[in-house]
Amino acid sequence: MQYYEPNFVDEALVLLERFGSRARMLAGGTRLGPLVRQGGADIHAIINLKRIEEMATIVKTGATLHIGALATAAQLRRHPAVREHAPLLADAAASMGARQLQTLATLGGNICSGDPASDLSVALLACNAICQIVTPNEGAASFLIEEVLSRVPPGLTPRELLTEIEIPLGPYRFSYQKMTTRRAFEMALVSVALRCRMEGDIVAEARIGLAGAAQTTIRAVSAERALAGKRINTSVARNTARIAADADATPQSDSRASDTYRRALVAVLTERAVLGCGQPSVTRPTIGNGGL
Amino acid sequence: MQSIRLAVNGQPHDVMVKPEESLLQLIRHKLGLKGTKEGCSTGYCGACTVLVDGAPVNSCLFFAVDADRREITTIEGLAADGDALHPLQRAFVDAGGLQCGFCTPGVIMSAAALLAENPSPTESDVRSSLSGNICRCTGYQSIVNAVLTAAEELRAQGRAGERTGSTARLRSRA
Repeated sequence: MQYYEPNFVDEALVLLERFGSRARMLAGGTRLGPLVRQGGADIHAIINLKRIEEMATIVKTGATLHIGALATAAQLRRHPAVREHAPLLADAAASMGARQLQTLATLGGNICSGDPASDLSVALLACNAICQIVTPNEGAASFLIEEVLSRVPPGLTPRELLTEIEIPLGPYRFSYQKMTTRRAFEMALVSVALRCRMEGDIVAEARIGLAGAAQTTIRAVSAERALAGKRINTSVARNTARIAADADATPQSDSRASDTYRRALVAVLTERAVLGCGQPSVTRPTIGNGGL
Repeated sequence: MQSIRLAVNGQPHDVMVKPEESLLQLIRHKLGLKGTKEGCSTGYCGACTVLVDGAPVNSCLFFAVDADRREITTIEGLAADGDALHPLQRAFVDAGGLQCGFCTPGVIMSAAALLAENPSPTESDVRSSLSGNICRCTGYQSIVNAVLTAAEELRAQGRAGERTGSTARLRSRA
């Protein structure tokens, strides 16, 4: 197995062109590490992206927050610009439990893994994020986050490199709600990310992301429509939650939770998220049954 | 094989590593530092926690090649030179913050990272920061007590927020 440590995106693209599907890119390494050491995967080269500084910056320009794909959950949790302008993402990062994992796990890795329970991906869905993806010959292109997350099979092709995520900013209200069985290294059983644009006390526009509620992270489009134009109160929250659970969620049973339980969680957490956006202050995430 | 140079507990090391090798394997098998434990090897249990440039990581997930030009602190490097235990270690002994001891090095390294960032943590801060370390013996209460006691002791000694181990020592030399 060969090992490369490019310092620039262009150098990484040369390596992608050369190795294609025989290479794996190293960002946080939380998945690649066990995969490589357990053997069995046909990997000829590891391309360590961590030294590419241009992929690790977080900067606000105008009404957009630019976050390098290598930004870690620990950085997202702490970075003043993320906390101020994209608190949904900071909350989702903080909900990722184990500090050791937060040190390693990256925003890009969360997207590229295509995990249906990804905390960061579901926050990006609600934020209407844009992914900057470069390929060896075609250069850079912009993709809506939901386009990237709904791909089958999940993730990027071997010739694509996710370099940056752009988050449009505005006077939004956010709420992030999550249920896990314990805090450490625990993907959500279900999580709900909600972003509302208010006009007075009416919801002018809502974007709802669901994790753990389908084969991929999804938008709850029917529930978004139901919530738009409404004044937030208990019955609106309950109705939105019911629609998210019945019309948008298509959960499957697995070893961690049954489809019935996941659907019930979608309803409970969506209701909490809507009520959370009923007031101007940003809510803190609800996380499972406690830590230690 | 790749040639890397890293500092472990303040000591520079030049070693050859395979691309697939973990930092945990390097620390235990090449450097012979057996304080860091191998538990699950998948990032769940936290027994292998060390500090990389001052931040806690699961060394089983971290690639050894990626430790090139980085500063690593293991449990062996926590106390200052000499025989005296670090206040965290002392507090774990005094509070009985362990039973079998297998998880203890990882727990203490996570706690060290917490206290460097937050010298006056609440009980909830401690529980949250240690949530990536699984202990199957203690029920955690004595661990939490030990960390809170150590925080108090470090503050009393005027060492609140002190970065521990090799990072602090290398930086002070620079």
